[in-house]
Amino acid sequence: MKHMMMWALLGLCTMAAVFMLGAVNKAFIHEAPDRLQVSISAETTIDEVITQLPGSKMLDANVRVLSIPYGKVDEYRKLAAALPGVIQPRAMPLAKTEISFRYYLFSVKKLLIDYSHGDLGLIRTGDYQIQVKSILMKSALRTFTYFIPGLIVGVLIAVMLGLLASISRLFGKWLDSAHAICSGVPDYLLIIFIQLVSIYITRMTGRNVILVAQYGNHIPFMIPFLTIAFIPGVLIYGTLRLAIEREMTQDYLTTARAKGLSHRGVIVRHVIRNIMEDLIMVLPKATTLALASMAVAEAMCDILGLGGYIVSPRMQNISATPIICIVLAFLAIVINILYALLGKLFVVQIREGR
Amino acid sequence: MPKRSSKLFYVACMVILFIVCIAAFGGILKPHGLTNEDKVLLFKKVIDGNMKFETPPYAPHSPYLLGSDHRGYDMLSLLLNGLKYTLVNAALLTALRFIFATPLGMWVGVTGNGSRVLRVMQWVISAVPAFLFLYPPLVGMFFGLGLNDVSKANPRDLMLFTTVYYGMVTFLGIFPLAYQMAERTRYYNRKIFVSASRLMGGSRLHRIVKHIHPNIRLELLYMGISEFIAVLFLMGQLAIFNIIIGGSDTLVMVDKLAPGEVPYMIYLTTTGEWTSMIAYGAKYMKIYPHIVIESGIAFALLILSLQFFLHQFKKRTQ
Repeated sequence: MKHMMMWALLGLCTMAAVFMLGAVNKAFIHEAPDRLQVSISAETTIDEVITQLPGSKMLDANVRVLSIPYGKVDEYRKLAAALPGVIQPRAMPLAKTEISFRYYLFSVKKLLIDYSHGDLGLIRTGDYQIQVKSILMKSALRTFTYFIPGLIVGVLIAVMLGLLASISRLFGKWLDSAHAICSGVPDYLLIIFIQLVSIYITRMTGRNVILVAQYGNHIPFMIPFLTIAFIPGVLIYGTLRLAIEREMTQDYLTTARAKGLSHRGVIVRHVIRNIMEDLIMVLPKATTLALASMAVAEAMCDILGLGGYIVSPRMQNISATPIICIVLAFLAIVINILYALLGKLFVVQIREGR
Repeated sequence: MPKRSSKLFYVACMVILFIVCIAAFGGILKPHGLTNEDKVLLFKKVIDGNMKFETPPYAPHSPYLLGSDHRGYDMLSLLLNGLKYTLVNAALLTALRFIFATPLGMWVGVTGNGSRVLRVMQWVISAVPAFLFLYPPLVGMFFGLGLNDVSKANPRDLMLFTTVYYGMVTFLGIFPLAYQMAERTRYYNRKIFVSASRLMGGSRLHRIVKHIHPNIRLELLYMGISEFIAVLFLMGQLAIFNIIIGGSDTLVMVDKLAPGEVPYMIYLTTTGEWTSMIAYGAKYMKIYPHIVIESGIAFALLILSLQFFLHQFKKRTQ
């Protein structure tokens, strides 16, 4: 129980770190967070404006710059714009970008308050503002449609190929050579390769074989799916091959063979059980790689999934990055916990006799 | 007994030497410059007796052998100039990771002190994809400090960003590497010759320097090359997310066929750094495939050469 509590606390700390880092962009300010400039018509006076903006004070009467409560520029701009006779209230731009830890902490506090009220942030695209709450579930489901099948298929194929390579030496040699080349392929090069092949096939045949980018409701599936399956698959295959090679030198296998068990029988009946620990150990790293590849695939295919929303150049993240990062971190941690439970179930536990 | 020489090992060494030479002298060898004066913004072409004008990016062969980018810079010159930035950045990041991870991992492996903290840190960093820690602060800094238009940015801001980039990428790599090293050190620390040294009064430092390090040296070299490749992969991922080391130029692209659409920003490396070239070329794959094909092939050949060298090196030394 104590052990589980410690790991849960660690997971929470990790998510807190991801949240704090996700809000770092707020530390870079281009406008004074406590100044507002207003222009007024003859309809009103600056003193009247000040009385209607609580907490504001005149700073410079010549250019009509007001001092307002810290970090409330947007709120006071809207408030001032609604007053009669006030024309174009605007924030005061700074001469150069400043790094403000005060504004960062203020923004973190504001984000936490907003989260507690159910406001998960905003994304802006062109003139539109999107509530993160309204797209979070949809984008998560969109991501899961290729992430979960891709990861499962990648793991299963890697395990099967690893076992096949151990059963057939010739096949193993071929696969090992292919693995040596594949392990040098980064996810983005793989995606580029698939996209190029798809583009040239489409040009040659006139038919859209593989969708390379999202348009409207048409979402690419094959590219993220293949990337998510391939990258962890290569890692798992390599790990299993080493693990099987190690097990094949063990004495218990010599005994099994001496008792008449075939090579295939040895692998199926003994080796699989004993390489389970290696598989469970490599799965968290494989999943982390798959998540990173998923974000790369979404960025390159312009898919508005969980990763796509934070990295897409079409989306200007006003305050969405921290929450989407937390969701991704949470997903990664949950999968890690699942692997830990699988380890408890399937890994052969060895204890010294008393 | 001396190791049997292998022709393939020498071929791998020659390939690595060739890459290092290109990196060292690429800036001198490049056929065209990379200053504002070297941009070719208009190219005259005679087709069937008619004069035609072309604007960049130019396709291969006209006027440059490998074509040009959107600014009118020669692709070959960019690639020749950019290799040193790719290699030096990756090498420095790898070296920094090792400088911190090696003593930490060996100390933890020998003494056992802090092994729990190391395991926890390794878990935290491995459980969550690196881009979740790296992307938000780095992208915030990159655009917050105006490094997407590096010619107008403050050089001090660029230095600050580069320092943070190095600091964060190094920090995230230290713990998994130190953990791996601690495991190997623990393995050697249990060997009889190390126990004998301890019983004879050898200090921890003595055991690390005189007994464990000589045994682990080769593994460190293998790990170094693998880590170098992993850093190159990570640099590429960050470039795909528009985090370009050394800053970038920005091109604002407006789709004239779709008025009112959000303008599309293209971030181009100023140095020709290879991973950033791939990231930039990938966005124009449909219209100007030569950019991504050329930079992608160059990068793939670099990675394959490194893998080939690692494979041959392992074969020779094991």
